[in-house]
Amino acid sequence: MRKRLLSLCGSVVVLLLLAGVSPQALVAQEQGTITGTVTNAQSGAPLAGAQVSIRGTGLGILTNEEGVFLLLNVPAGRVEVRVEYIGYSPEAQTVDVGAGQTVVLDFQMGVTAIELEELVATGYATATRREVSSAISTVRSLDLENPAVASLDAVLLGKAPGVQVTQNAGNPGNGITVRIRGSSSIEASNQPLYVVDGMPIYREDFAQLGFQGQDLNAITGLNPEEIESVDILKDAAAAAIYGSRGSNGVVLITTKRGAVTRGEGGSGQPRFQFSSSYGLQEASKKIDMMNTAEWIEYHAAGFRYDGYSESEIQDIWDAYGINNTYDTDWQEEVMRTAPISTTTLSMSGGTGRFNYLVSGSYFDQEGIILGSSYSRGNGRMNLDFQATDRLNVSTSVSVAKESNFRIVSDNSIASAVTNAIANEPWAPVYEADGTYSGRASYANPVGIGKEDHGEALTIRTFGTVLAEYQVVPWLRASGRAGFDVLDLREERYNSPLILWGSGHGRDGRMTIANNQGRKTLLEGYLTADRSYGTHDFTVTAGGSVERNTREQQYLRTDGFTSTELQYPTNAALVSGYDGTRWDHNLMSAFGRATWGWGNRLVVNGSLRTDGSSRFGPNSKWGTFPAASVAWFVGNETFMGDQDLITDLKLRLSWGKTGNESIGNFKYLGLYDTSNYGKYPGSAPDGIPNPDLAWEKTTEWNIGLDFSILSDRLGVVAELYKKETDDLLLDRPVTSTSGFTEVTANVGAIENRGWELSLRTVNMRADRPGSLEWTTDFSITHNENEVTKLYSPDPNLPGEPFGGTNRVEEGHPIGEFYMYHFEGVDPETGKGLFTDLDADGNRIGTTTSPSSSDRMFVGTPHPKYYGGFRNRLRWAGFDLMAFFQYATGHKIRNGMRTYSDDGGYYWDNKFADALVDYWTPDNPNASKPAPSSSGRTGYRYNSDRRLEDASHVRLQEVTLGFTLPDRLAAAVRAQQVRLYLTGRNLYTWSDYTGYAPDVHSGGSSSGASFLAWDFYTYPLARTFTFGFQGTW
Amino acid sequence: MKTIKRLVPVLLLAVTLGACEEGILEVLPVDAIANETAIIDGTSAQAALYGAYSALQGGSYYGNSYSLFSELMTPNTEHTGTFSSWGDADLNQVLPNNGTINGMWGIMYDGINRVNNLIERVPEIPADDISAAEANEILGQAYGLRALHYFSLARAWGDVPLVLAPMSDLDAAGEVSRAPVAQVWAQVESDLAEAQSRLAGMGNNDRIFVTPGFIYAMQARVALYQEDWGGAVSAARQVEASGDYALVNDFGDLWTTLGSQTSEDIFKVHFDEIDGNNMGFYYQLGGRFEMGATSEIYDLFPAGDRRHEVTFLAPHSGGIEVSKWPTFIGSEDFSVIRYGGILLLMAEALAQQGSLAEAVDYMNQIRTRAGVAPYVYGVDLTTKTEILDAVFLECRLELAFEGEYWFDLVRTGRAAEAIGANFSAYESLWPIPESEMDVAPNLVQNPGY
Repeated sequence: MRKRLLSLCGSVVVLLLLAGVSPQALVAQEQGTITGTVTNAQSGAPLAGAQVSIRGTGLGILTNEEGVFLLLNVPAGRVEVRVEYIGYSPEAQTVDVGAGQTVVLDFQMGVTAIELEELVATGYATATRREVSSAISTVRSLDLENPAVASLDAVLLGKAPGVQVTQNAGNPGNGITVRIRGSSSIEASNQPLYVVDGMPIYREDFAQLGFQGQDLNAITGLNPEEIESVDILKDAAAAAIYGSRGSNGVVLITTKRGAVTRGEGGSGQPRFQFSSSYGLQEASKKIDMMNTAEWIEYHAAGFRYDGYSESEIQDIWDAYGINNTYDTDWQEEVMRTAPISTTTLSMSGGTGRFNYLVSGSYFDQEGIILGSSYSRGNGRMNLDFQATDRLNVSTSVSVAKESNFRIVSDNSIASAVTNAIANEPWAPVYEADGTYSGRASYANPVGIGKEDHGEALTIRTFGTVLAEYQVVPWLRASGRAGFDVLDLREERYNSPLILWGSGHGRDGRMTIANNQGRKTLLEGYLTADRSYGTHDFTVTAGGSVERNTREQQYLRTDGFTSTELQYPTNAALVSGYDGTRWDHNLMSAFGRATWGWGNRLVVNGSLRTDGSSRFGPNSKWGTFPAASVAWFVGNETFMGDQDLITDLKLRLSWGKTGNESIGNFKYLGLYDTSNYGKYPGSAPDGIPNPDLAWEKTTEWNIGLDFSILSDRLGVVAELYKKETDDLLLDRPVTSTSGFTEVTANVGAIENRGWELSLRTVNMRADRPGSLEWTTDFSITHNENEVTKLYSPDPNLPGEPFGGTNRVEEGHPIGEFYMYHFEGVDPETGKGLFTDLDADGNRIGTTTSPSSSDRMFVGTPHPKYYGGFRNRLRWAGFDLMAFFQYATGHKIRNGMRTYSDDGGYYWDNKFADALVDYWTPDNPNASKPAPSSSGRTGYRYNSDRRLEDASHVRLQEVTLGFTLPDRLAAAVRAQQVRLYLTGRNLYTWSDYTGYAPDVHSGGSSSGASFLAWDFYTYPLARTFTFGFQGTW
Repeated sequence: MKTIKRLVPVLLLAVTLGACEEGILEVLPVDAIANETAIIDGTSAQAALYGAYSALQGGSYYGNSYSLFSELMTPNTEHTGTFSSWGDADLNQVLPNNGTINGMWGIMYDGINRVNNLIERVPEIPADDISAAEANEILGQAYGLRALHYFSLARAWGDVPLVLAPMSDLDAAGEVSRAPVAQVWAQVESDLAEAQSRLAGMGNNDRIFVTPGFIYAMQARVALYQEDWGGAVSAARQVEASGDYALVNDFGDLWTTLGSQTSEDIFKVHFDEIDGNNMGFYYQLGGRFEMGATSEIYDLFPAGDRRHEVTFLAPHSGGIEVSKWPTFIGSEDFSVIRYGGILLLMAEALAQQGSLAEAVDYMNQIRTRAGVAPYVYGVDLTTKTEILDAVFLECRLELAFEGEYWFDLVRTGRAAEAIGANFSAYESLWPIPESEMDVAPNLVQNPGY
C-alpha cells in the first residue's frame, strides 16, 4: 500500500505544478531593440554565452556563438546595458533607446583578477559571487578540461584552497580521498557530499572485493568534461543548507547545458563540439632496488654478523639455488608504457524556449602495471523547456559505464606491485619450460598481471527533473525528482598457475560480487524574491525526502577444470557467499533568507532540520542553523574615491552542520546470523544505544575579498575555526561483555586554519593578439587537533603490520607514534632508540625498546598545501603550467618493513640499505648492522621508516594553438585548437617510494589511518596530444 | 486572491509529500532480528545455541589461532611467515598488545556471552513455546560450552573475570575484576555438573555437539589440570565405560580431507568448505605457510611411526609443512578432545596414582595403533618418572599441533626445560590484553608483563 502511495508522489509533483498554469496575455508597450557583439579584448574572438542584461528590468539574454546578442522589447528611454562573463571584468554602457529604434552596442571584455559577477551555486539557489557571505570556492570548466585522469576529484587537486586531494594510488580510476578543511571525524566518513544538478549522489565505495588501497569511488562515473562548474561549500554557514551531511563540506557540481543558438538553419541550430586526445603513460619513477650481486652481498653481511662462516653462507646459497644466473628487474617486468585516450562529442543549442545538450564520451586508459586498465563511456542529455510563461521544466540525465580492471597491488603479499619490489632478483620470471617461476619468496608478479584479473563493471545512471513554476513575479515554486541507480558487478579470478597465489592448489578461484544502489529524491521548495527600495529579500523554504536501498551478493567458487573455464557453473565448490539488503532514509525541511542592502550589506541565514533512519529514537532529528554577513567596505563613503583597493568585501559566518555517515542500525542491539556450518544460528551483534545521534560541527569563518591595482591583483582570504563534537566513534568496551565496541557520540576534534588565494593579471591584453598572462596561487594551512576522547587512553587504529597512527588528545588525528631511532651503537652495530621513562621523558637510549618507548615522531598532515598556475595567451597560442605542492608532513614507507630490515626477510631491499651499514670496520655507521636473525633493531617499527613527504609537483603543462579563423573555416569549423599536455612531469621530493602523496589504506580506511605507503601502485607520467573543434 | 489560488497546488504538493512519507525513518534491518525477539521459543533458542557453537569456529579460537599461537610458543613449530603477533609468540616475546592474545580473549568472552544469553533466557520461555526436554538439551549444551570457555581461559590466563549473565549496563561492565583461578575451576566444575544432569539420557552420537561423553572428558581434563588424579581417572573411566568410543585403526583416518566423524571423536568443532578453518592454510605452502614444524619434532618420532607420515609433508628448502589438516579450504572438523587423548590422560593420571602397569597399558594402546612397539613395563619403563616422561612424549607426538603441547608444558612445569632461555617463568600465563586493561581499570595484569 505504502509503495503505491509513494509511486504516486513522484507524478504528483509534476502534475500539480502543471495544474496551476494558465496562459498570459502579452501587453504591448513602447519598446526598442538593442543588438551588438561581445568579444575578447585579447584575441578579438567572439564570446559565446556572455550574459547581457538591462539593469532594473529583468531583461537579459546570452550571446550566441558569434558573440551576438539581440535584446527585444527594451522599454524606451535611458537604459544601462551590462555584460557579464566568467573570468572577465563586467562591462556596462548606458544608451538611450527610442521606441521602435534599434541601437547597436559592442563590448570588449578584459580578464579580471576577481570575479564578482560569476554565478555561484549555493544549494537550492544560485547567487552572484558578490552576494556570497560564506566560504565557497569555485572551479570552472576551463580548469577541468583534458584531465587525463578518470576522476573529477583528482582534477580538483591543488585547484581550490582548503580542499586537500589525495590520490591514494596511481591505478587508473582509483578512488580519491578529499578532505575539506581537515578531518573532522575519527570514524565516520570524512568525504564531502557531492551534489550534481541538485541531486546528492552516491559517493562511497560500493565494492565488496578488497583491492586494498585501490578502492572504487562512485565519483569516477562523472566525466569531468561534462561539468560547467564545481562549487565547494567549505564553511559551515555555506554547507548548513545540507545539514546532516554538510560537516565534511559539500561539492556542488553543475553540468553543462544548452544555450540559445542561431544560424543558417534557423533558431536552435545545433552546435557541435568534438574533442579528442591520445597519449602515452609511463611510470614516473622506479624504486632503486638491489640487483642479484647486491642482494647476495647484503644478506651475506647479515649472516656474517650472526656468526655464520663464509662456507656456511655459501651452503645456504647453494641449498636455495641462489647465484648470479638471473638478475631480474621485477619492476621492469610488470611496468609498461600504456596508452590513454579520450573522445567527447557534444551537440547543443536552443531556441530559448527549448534548449538542449546531448553529449557522449569515451575514456580509455591502460594501466602502467600489467593487468590494470580503466575505461568509461558517458552519455548525458540536459534539456530545458519553457512549457509556458510560468513553467520551466529541465532535465539532467547521465548514463555511464565504467570498466575498471584492477590488479592487486597495494597492501598485499600476493600482488603485482608488491611482489615486483619484494621478490628476489636472483629468481627468474619464467622457468625453462615456460611456466611462471615460483622460486622467489612471493607469488610471481608477472603471472599475477597476466593470469589474474579483476574487473569492476559499473553501470550508473542518475539525473533529475526540475519543474519551476512562477506563481507570481516574486514567488517561484520548484519541485525536483531525482534518482541515482548504480549497479556494480565485480569479479576476481585467481589463476592456479601462480605458486603462492590464492588460486594455487585450489585449481583456480573465482569470486563474483554484485552490488546495487538505488537512491530517489523528492523535494519541493518556494523561493520568494522581493525588493523594497534598496532592500532586497530572498527567502527559500522547502522539504526533501531521500530514500536509499542497497543490495549486495557475493559468491566465491573454487576448483576449475581449466584456466579457460572461470564461471561458478564450472566450479567444484562454493567456498563463500553473502547477500543482504539495507535501507537508509532521510527526511528534511530547510529554509534560507537573504537580505541585501544596496551595495553595502548582505545577510544570509539558513536552517535545516534532518531526520535520519540511522539514529536512535531519542535523537532521530537534528537541526542545523547558520548565519553569515558580508559588508562591502569598499563601497562605504569613508573609503573615499581612491582607486587602489576596489571591491573590498568583509565576510563573517557561523554555522552548524552534521555528519551521519556511519553504518545503518548502529543504535539497535541485534541478533545476527552466525551459522555453525550448515546449522543456521544467531548471535548477539551489538549493544543498543538509543541515544546515538549526529556528529555536530560548529564553524566560524572570517573572509576578506578585494582587488587592488585596478583589478590586477585579486585576493580571497579565509580564516576559520571548526569544532566537531559528539564524534561518532566505536568506543571500546570490555570484551568480557561479549563485544569489543559500541558506536557512541564521544570525543571532539578541532580544525583551524587559513586559506589564501591570489590571482594576478600580470599582462592584460589591450588589443587582439597581444600578450595576456595571469597567475593563480593558493595556499592552505590547517591545524588539526583531537580535543577530547572517550577515555584518557589513546588508541591506535588497528591497521595491519603494526599500528603507528595514534589518536590522542592534544595531538592531530593519526599523528605518527613510533620508536625514535637515534643512531647506531658503535660497539655492537645495533640500532639505538630513545628510551623513555614512565612520564615520557628521555632517559637515554636502548637497543630493545618496549611499547612504552614509543613517542610522537611526525604528522601525516601537511602544514601547507596548494597550487600555483600560470596561464599565458599570445596570438593563437596558450600556455598553462600548474604546480601542486604540500609540505611539513611525513609518510610511513611501509615497504621498508620488509625491504630495509637488515636481511631478516629475503625480500629484495632498497639499494640505499647498502650504503653505510655497520661492520666492525665501519663502527660509526648511520645504519645498524644487517642481521639475518633480525637482532640489530631494523625490525622495530621506528621512525627509520618515516620519510619527509614534502613535495612540489609539476602537475601539468599544456601548450595549445588555436587555428586562425580562415584555417578553421577550411574545415568548416568555427574554432579549432590543438594542444600538447604533459602531466605529472616532475616531482621534487626526497621520498624514496614511488610518490609521497599516496595512502595504501585507500579512501575508506578511516580518518586516523593516514600516509602509509605499502607497495602503492605508482603514478603515471603522461603525455597527450589533443584536438578540440567547434562547428 | 489569484496568488493564493496559484499557491494551492504548491501547498497540496507539500501536504502530499509529508503524508506519504510518514514513517520512513523507522527502518529496520532485513537480515537481523531484534535482541528482544531473539530467544523466544524452541526454534529461536536452538538457533541461538548454534550461534553459540559458531563462536568456537572463530579464527581466534579453534578456527586457527588458539592452537597455532600456543604451538608457536613451543619447540614444535617455527614462524615462517610475516604476521608479527605470531612471530612474537615464536620468540616467546608476547606483549600485552599482541593482537592474537586480544583476539583469543575476545572470542572466548564472546562465546560466553552467547551462552549466558541462553542460560538466562531459555528458562523464561513459556512452556507452550518449548518442551521441557528441548529446553534441557539446549541448556545442558550451553553449560557445557561455558565450561569449555572458562577452561580455555583459566589454563591460559589463570585468574579471569567470571561473567555468568549477559551484561546490559556498559559502565558496570567496565568494573569487572579477575576471580581467583580456583573459583574459575569451581565454576567450570559446577557448569559441567549442571550439563551432566541436564544431558542425562542424551546419546553420544553427533560429536560436533556437546554430549554426555564430552562432559565426562572435560571433567577428566579439569581434574587433571587441578592434579586431582583420582577425579581424572574416574571421569575418564566414564568415557571408556560408555562404550561409544574406540581408537580408529589407522591414525590417518583421523586426518582426512573430509574430516568426518570417527569412533574416536569426543568433541569436534565443525567446519565445512564455506565455514572453514585456517589450519591447513597456515601450515602449508599452498596457503600462507605462516608456520612450519621444527626439525626437532620432525626427528622425534620413532622409525616406522605411522603418525610421522600423516603429520608431515616431506621437508623442503622453505621448511616442514604440517599435514594433519590436509586442505587449506579448512573443511575438516577440529578435534577438541578425542579418545586417544583421553587414553593418554588416563595413563598420566594412573601413573601419578602409582598404577604404573595400567598406565603403560593405556599408553600402549596408542603406540600399537601408531605401529610402534609397545613398552614393556618393568623392562622399557619402570619408575613413575620414566612412565610420566614417556606419557608426556607420547602426548607430544600423538597430539602434535593439536594445541595441547604448550598447556601440557606449563601444567607439568616442563616449559623452561623444553623452550630454553627464551622462556621466563612469568610467561606461563599469557598477558591480559592491553586494550582490555584500558577499558576495565580494575583488572590487574599478570606479573612480569
